[in-house]
This record gives sequence, structure tokens and C-alpha cells, in this order.
Amino acid sequence: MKRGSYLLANLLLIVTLIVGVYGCSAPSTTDIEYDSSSPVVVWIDAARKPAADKYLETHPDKASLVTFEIVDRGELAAKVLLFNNAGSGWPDVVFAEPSIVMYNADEAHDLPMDLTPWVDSKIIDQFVPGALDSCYKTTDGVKELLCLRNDIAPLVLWYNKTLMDEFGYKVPTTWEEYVTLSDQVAKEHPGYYMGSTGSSEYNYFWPSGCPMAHQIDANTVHIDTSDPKCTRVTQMIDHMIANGTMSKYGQFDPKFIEIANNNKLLMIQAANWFGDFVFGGKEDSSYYKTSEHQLAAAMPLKWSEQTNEFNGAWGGSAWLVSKHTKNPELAVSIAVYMTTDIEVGKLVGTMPAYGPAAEEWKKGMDANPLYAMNPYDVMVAASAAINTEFTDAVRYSLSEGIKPYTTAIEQDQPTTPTLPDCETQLKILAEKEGYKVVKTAP
Amino acid sequence: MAAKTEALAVKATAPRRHLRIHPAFLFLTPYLAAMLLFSLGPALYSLLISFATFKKGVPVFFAAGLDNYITVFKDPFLWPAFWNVIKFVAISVPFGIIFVVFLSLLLHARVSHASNAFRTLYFIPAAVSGPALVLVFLFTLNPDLSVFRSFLHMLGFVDIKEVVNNNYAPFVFTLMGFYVGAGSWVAIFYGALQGIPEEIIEAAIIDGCSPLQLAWLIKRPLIGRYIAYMALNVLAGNVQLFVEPQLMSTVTATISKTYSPNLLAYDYAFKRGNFGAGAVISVMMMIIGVTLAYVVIKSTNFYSIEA
Repeated sequence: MKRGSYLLANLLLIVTLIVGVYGCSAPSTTDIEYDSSSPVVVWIDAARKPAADKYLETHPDKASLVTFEIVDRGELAAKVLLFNNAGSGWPDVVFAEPSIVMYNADEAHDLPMDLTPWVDSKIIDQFVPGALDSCYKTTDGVKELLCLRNDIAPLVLWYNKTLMDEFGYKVPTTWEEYVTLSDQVAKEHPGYYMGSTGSSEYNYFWPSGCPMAHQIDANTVHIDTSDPKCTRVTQMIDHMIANGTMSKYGQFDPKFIEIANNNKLLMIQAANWFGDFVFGGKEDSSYYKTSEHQLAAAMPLKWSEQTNEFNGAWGGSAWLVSKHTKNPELAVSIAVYMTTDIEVGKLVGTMPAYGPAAEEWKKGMDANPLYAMNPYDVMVAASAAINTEFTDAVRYSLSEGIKPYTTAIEQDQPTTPTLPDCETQLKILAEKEGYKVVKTAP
Repeated sequence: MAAKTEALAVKATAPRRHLRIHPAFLFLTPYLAAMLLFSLGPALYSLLISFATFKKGVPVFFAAGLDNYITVFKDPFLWPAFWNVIKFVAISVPFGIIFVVFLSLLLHARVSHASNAFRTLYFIPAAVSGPALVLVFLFTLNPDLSVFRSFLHMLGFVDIKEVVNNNYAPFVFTLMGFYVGAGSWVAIFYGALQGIPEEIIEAAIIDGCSPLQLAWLIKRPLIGRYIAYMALNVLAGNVQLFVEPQLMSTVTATISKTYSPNLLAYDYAFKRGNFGAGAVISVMMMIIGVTLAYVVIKSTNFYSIEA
């Protein structure tokens, strides 16, 4: 009996201690006092290091205040939650995709600051049309600018001009023509490919406007995969996998890379950065090991009923400024510098979102012997044609949501029958993120 | 004899009983402190925050009531996650025990330098663990890159997704677990086998035991408690499945990002910011773990003192 009470007393002590230690309430995070001499921490990835060095070099007066840290931004959301819990530790500026920015803009994370009052509207106006769309968040009619786009990544139709000329084919302009051409290719030149199924939520569902991620407002999303805008995509993919012109492997799968290496890739609708960074045309490049003016870009394909908005995007990043920063002036100026500086735009290599920097970046492609023509104008036009009935900035994971579809491709099954399962899955994921899911758009 | 000494000791200290407890606790302090900080503390904290809300990322204790529990129990991914772990445990635990016992008995059948060398050899893979282990396996199981690719091709596999997918996942995870874990268990079992008195083995041999009978009828029952101990540990470890499916889900679409309860808890806490719901799953895992341990300990008389 005596021993029992001793243990009980011990246990009570433990509980008291733990509640005491953990129970201290975190300090309130509102009402920050701004201080222009307060240091600023900037989270970047390794590719942004040269730009960071450039900043420190060109801003010697600010260098002592600014620290650049290379961080895996995939961990941002988790870390922000822990910082919120602790009441301190947030970075002031973060380099991250708009989808990550939006993910961290919900009630639990509540990280990005509205930049509208901080950034000159003349600067905002000079971004490539449509570039900032994915940085805006509208809640109850209030529109906030939560990030500045670093680079943009509209899809274009990459094609091998040499092969197309040799075969005597005309570059398709609609998906319908594309499918017709695929049958012709299958018959006349079997073994040549016109696309890959990897990342299809961006490359095929988005351009079609399949309602998987049609955000009505910050907390309402329209999901209906029985829509013809979805079925026409899966029917096309099933058809082209069957006729052997669409690879079931992803764009970066060694098996698909081999196809490109063997010059069996006739065309592929993919992001604008595929030209420099995937086709490459250098010895250590992924798709093309040599540059022979073989690569050209055409406008992304559209379904014949589509008019203005028929494109998707794949990637492209942005800069956010934290709500918790003590030195917003300096923090914002770094985000502005990183996105608008012409020299920085040239350093990174992907298409800058800021117009004047993009114009300068264009010149780099003129001299590149990989291209049959400069794809820049196509990229700008493709960027303005992005379908707004789909966004990759929803808070749920699209690739998780369309798993039934990707699983079917992996297992050589037709994909169209998986659409109802995708809808169920997407709906579950969206609702878990606090979205209201509607079956028809208002 | 032993019983008599103990009786004397009890008698001698009986009048000053409280003094007996204190030195013991003194020696136990480092362990108790560690357990408090890293085991019992977090467990109780989990229990506490499973009733808290995290609306702004900051806990509001007891504000959630049973909401987090309702959220988790209504989650359509909860049962699949448990089912995945049940499948994995049902395969990995018996497989691990059978092969570890088999290897240990085999090593002990004829003790020599060779058995020592092999014991070390079995232990080496334990050096590779966590994410590195998963990567090693992703290479090993890739029919394009594996050193065993001709074997994989013989079985008809041409792409990694045909090997690493939801159907084979429990087997793949079992192999991975066995690869890293078996060595240390073989070492423990081997040690236990060394502890069997020479005269028992000698008597058995004189009575005409074949090496097989000796292993199965004499040695195996004598290390029974170690087998229970292994079962307990492997079970406790395997229900915590996390890094393997997390990394494998990047290879194949068929393995979900919430494949196991721990991944689901991680998803809730660190992706969705609902630490409360994450804690609910932790509490569930704790209850399961304690129950399993209790069942194993009770059914094997684990703590009874040998006669």
C-alpha cells in the first residue's frame, strides 16, 4: 500500500512537471514593432546561392543584416507550424513555389504577408501578364498579393523540327489533330513517341481544365472528374498508350530518357524549362546530347472548343515575406531584388517572371545552337493562355488525389474507368484541408 | 540455496524497508530521467494535446474535447493505414523469428571460428539503416540497376514499379527489416545458446539426440524467452513503420503517402497543422503497443524468475 502511494505520488509529480513545462502558453504574435536595423533571414535553395552572393556583393551596406540559409522548402510547412508553436524562429523571406506559399497561407500556418502595400504598383505592372495570378489570394472579396513570382513555367509544345520535317508532318495545334497524328505516327513510324504520362495533372488535365483543382474561393473547390474535360484527357491517353505513341513512363524515368536519347521523341507538351534544362543539347544533358538546331517550340495544344485559356504550367517559383518579420522594408526589398534584377534573372536560367528581366533572358536563347528558332515569344504567349479553372496552388496534393489514375497507368490498365475513384480521393483530400467541395461551378 | 539467501536478505532489511527503495531509485535515476524525457513525457504530452486545438498553430488545451478523436476515426485513410501495418506485421514477425532462430541454431550446431565469422557477417548490414537502407533496396530491387537483375528478369520483372508496389510492399518491407535487424538478433540468440549448460547438451548427445533433435527439442525451448523478447521488440518496431513507405511512395503511385498510421499522424501534424489529430493516432499506437506487450509478457511468463 505504502509503495503504491509512493508510485502514485511520483506519477503525479511527472504529470505536473510535464504540464508545467509544456503548458506555458506561447507568446502572442500580433503587434510586431518594426525596426529597420533588425536582421533578416532568407531561406533559399542551392540554385539561388549565386543570386544570394550577388545581393551581398551589390548591397554592402545591408550585408551585415542579411543571412541566406539553404533550406529544403518541402519542410517549410512543418517548420512553420513548429515556429508558430514556439512563437519564434520564422524566416523573414522564403523562396518557394506558389503552391507552398498558398499552403502556408491558411489559418494554421498563417505565414505570408500581403505585399500590396509594400511593393510599388509600377513594379507589379511590369510582370509578364498572368505571372502573378498564382500569388493572389482572395478571401471574402479581399485580394492579397502573397508572393512575387521568381520565374514562370508555362507549357509549350516542344517538337523535334528535324524529325518533323523529315517525316513531312505538320505541327498540330489542337489535341484532336495531335491524336490523329499519333495514329499516323503509330502506323508510319512505330517506335516514335509524342508524349509521356508523367506529371499529367499539369501537362494534360490542367490545359483541358478538368475540374480537379478549380478553386472558386479560398475555401471552396469544384471537383467533378465525370466532366467531359476530364474524360477527353483520359480517353486520349488510353488511346495513345495503346497505339504506342504515349509512354507510360514519366518524363524523368530512365526508360523515357532513353527514348529521347535515341532520338525517338517527336514531340512533348512540357514546361518551358524543358528546353534548356531537360533537352539541354550538351554532353551531360538528359534528353539531347548534341545541339543541332533540332528543337523548336509551338503554342501549347488546345481542345478545339477552347479559345483563350487552354494552357497549364509546371513549376516556377516565388518569394514570400513573412508576417512575423521585424524589418519588412528590407525583407520586401530582397524579394523585389531577387525577382526584378536583370543580372539575377540571367544567373538562374529559368524564365524570369518580371518582364524586363525576361526580355534580357530571351537573348540567351538566340545564341543557343539547340534551338531551331527562339522559343521566347511562344513562351510569353503560352504564359498568357493559362487556364484559370485549374491551379496547382490548392492545399491538397493533386498527385495523391489522382493516384487511381497513375496506378492504372503503372499497371497497364485503362485510365478512364478510374476517374470516379480519383474524384472520391480528391474530394476526401480537399475536405481534409478544410475545403467545401462543390460538384458544379457556380 | 539461492532461495535461502534471498529469504535471509529480506529478513535482515525488513525493519528498514524504506531504505531499500532509495538506493535502488538512485541507480535507476538516469534511466528514469531518460524515460521521463523521451518516452513517458512525450506519451503523456500526446495524450494532453490530443484534446487540444491548433487553430493558429498554438495549442489551446482541452478546447477540442473529443473533436480530434472524431476527426481521426472518421478519416477514410485510417483503416487502410492500419490494415497495411497488420499485413506487414503478420508477414514480418513470423518470418523474422523463424529465420533468426534457424540461423542461430545453425550457427550453434557446430561452434567454430566459422560461426563467429558468420555472426559478424550477419551483423554488418545493421550498419545501414533508415533512409540509406531504403535507397540500397531501391537499387537492389530495380531490374535496370540491381546486382541481382538477371534474377529479377528471370522472375519476369522489367521495371521497378513491378517490384515496388502496394501488392509486394509488405514483403519488401519484411526483407528490409530482416536485412538490418536479423544480425543483432542472431547475436543475442547465439549468446543465449552459449548460456545453455554444457552438461545438458552432453546428456542429450549421450541419450542419442541427433543435431537436429538437439536444436529443436533442447536448445529451442531453452531460448524461448528470448524469442518472446524478440517478438515483442520486432512487433513494437514494425507497427511504427514510417520511413520505408515514405520513401517508396516517391517511386510508385500505388504506395500512399499515408500508408501507415505513423505516416498518417505525420500528415496530420506536420502537413496539416493538426497536432491534436496526430496525437490521437500516437495515443492509439501507444495503447496498441502496451496491449501487445502485456499480452506477450503474460502469455510467456516473461518476468518469472527461473527455477
